[in-house]
Amino acid sequence: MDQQKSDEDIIVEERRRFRAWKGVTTAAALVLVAACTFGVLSIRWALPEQFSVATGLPPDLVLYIPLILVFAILIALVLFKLRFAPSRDSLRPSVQRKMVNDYVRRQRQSLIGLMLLVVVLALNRGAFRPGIADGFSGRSILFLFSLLLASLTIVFGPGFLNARFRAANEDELSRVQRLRATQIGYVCAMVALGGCYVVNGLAPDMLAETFPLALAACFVFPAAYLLWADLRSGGPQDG
Amino acid sequence: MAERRLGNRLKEIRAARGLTQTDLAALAGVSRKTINTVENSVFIPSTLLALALAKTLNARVEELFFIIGEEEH
Repeated sequence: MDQQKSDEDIIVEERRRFRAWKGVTTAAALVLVAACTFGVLSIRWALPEQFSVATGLPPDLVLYIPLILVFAILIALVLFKLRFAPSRDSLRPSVQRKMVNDYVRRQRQSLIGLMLLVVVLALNRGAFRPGIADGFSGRSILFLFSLLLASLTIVFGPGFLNARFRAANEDELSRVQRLRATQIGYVCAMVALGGCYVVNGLAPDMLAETFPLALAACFVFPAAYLLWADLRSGGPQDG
Repeated sequence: MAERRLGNRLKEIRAARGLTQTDLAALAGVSRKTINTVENSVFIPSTLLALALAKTLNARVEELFFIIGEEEH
């Protein structure tokens, strides 16, 4: 059936799916921020007790509200993705060729999202400090995985695991820009590690604070270069 | 010895064929930004892309690209 669909029909369908997916991820991010804010307020102002009194829910259950919200978001995202799975025909080379620009745009958005995540986690003062109860905190693990994902993104391009991004990642200009970004990242890594070495010698107490920032800088600078290079290469639309 | 640079007539030939940058990008399977940077001599395309662009525009590679340093002699 799908074989009879024209490239244009598939592209329209894909673009509609992109818009829906963008709306859902934005909503999910907002709920996530709300959940995190609730978590922070819970600790600072004993919100669970107040919330428990107001709603009549057991205090123990109220403590888990942020976690429950996060799981609900994840389940909703997975269900949404399954429900609106892209057509296999969108992998057709002729469609891929015509959709390069759409995927390049999506790559830019995901790169900005990843930059924000890494910066927020690095600025979080507890990112590398072991939790009191759990030794190595969940935030540290999240930070490490984010850095791993970030470095893979710089080297292979955003969405490197998704076959639909292949044409965008293999775009010649993108490859060259990523290569330059990787070079910048290598220099940043050397400078950042050197800086940490100096801090360790001069003020060892500050190393726990500076090390996450140094790690984040190794991604943020190349990513910022990629965004800048992408912006610069745009030029005016030529008719 | 004058420094060699790659010049191109991509914009003229593309315009003569009635194509926009977006159209040519879709036909060649690259992003519009790639076409834009090649046209503005910001980015030097690979042989593969140069051949693909020539084939898409139904032109010879030499018509599309030339070395500026050599043309002056």
